[in-house]
Amino acid sequence: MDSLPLFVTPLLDGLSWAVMLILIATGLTLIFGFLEVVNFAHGAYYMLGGYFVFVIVDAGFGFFAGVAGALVAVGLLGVLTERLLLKPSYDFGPITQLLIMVGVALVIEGAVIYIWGEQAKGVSTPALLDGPVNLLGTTYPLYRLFLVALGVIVIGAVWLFLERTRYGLVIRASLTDKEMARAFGNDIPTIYTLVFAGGVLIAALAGALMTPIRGIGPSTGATVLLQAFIVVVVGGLGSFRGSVVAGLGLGMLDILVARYISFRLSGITIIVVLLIVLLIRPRGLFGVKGVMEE
Amino acid sequence: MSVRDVLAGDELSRPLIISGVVLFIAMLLLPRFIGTFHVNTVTRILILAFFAMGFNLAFGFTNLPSFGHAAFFGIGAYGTAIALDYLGSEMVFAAFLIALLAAMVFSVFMGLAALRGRGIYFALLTFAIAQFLYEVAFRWTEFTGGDDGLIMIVPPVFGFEIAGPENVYYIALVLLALLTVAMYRILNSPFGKVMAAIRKNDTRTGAIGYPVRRIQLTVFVLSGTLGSIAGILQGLNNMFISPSVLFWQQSVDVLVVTIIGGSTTLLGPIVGSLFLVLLREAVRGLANIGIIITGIVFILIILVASDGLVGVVREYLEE
Repeated sequence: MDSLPLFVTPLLDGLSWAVMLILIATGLTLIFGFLEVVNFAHGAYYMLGGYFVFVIVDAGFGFFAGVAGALVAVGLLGVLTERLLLKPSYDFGPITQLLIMVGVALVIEGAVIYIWGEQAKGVSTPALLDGPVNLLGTTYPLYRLFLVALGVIVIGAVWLFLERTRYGLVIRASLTDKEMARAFGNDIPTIYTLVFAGGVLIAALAGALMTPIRGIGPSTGATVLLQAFIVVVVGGLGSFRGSVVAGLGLGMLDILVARYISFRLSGITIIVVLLIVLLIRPRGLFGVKGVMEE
Repeated sequence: MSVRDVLAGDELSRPLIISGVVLFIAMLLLPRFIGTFHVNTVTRILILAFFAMGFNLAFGFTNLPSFGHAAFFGIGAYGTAIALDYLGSEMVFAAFLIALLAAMVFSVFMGLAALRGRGIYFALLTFAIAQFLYEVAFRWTEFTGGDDGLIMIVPPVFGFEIAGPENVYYIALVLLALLTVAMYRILNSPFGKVMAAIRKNDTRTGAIGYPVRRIQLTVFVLSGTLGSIAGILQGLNNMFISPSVLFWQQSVDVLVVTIIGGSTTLLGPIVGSLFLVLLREAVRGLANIGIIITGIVFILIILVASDGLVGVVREYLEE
């Protein structure tokens, strides 16, 4: 029982990051699974979530207003992106759409540097959630526990949406048989927009929530993107379950390796996992077979 | 000159050859008329153009969307610097050779790994492998200097100074000219026709008996090696290398430049490089609007002008 406190902190750190990572990865994997778009700008939307929170808090409106504002703003941006850029270009193929999203990532990154400069920004933990909590013999920041709780709720909500709503059914069906699913609805275009906007919105939520912990800077998008990609590929492109499991595993692995083995290895461990997975089981944990031979 | 034109007829019209030669001579004389600062800018254009042209061999002409070409660029640069460090700075050619060989070997492995997937998955694999290389180089500070980078000291070769923009200018210019001609010859050769077949439909090409994987690998290795040459030039030019040469931003740069110029054209990469570097220079004071403009132009080209700027010019001329 004595050594428990030693494990608690890194484990919970890992868990709080893993949960955020799952949020990001879920959006990315669903966008790929349903729209067949590799959203290269997913990290950029995450980053925007952080910047919007910063702006709103800086203007004096408080953290929760900031998060809400970030969600609305990025949600709108998501709708705009899908309607204006993706809808007209579905016929060009997934690689072209990937490239378009590369362009979007560039524009967002440029805009961020242009408006806010190269220096990282920070936001302080909201007073309501600040402070330590006594837990299993040690103290732990309340905010991080809040992250875990909120993250689990949102993940649960997404799961419910996928399992219990009609839209969710179409999305899930589409992952196994695209043509068939298309045949079942005339509001498919709406679902397209919904999935994209929803996906980036959740990423922005994670970005907003992580800002008090890690701050936000112009290179945050790129770093997060890479990690999210790894989770998505390891979990299986298009698989919600996959991104949850892989997000949990990789998120915890990354933090724990950094704490217990070597700080230098943080970030690299998951890339190694990615390479191994890509070479041995490219479809990922829960991916659909044959999907590599696209 | 589009791939279509280039492949359709191997009659290279007299005026075109003459204007090419004239342009080359003009470029040789250019440094005398413009200041050192501008020579540096043009050198950067030449290096990027070389990189992009080598890249386009795989990307535009064989449909291999590599998102990890920065790896080759970085291996060229770092390979030379590290080799010079270990061998002593007089062994310049040996250092070049080592960097080239390292890039070649790496490209074989990277190609074999990445070619296990097609299309998007190929792209993702190249991206991951290149980023992995970056993370390693970034962390292996004893070897690579980490974030601080490496300084490259290159002594004169056969009495000629080869480092620094004024000198690299000529080297890069000649190499780019040679590459352009070589590219033209490759595209018109039987090998080039097979590349085009693979680009259009690799499954069918494989079905009629061509060793598609092997050809793709060959093209990829060639493209990567060319990329490493660009990296060597970069190192010589700046006499300094930072990990950013390996970062995926570099891969995106060469991709963006190629597409903006026109990935289906021979001269596209050159035009695109010209555009990007000039744009960046022009907006230097205005805090990075350049990135936004590049992104917007990039998206527009993809949506509206798939043959890039060269395509736009060509259409305009055909009016």
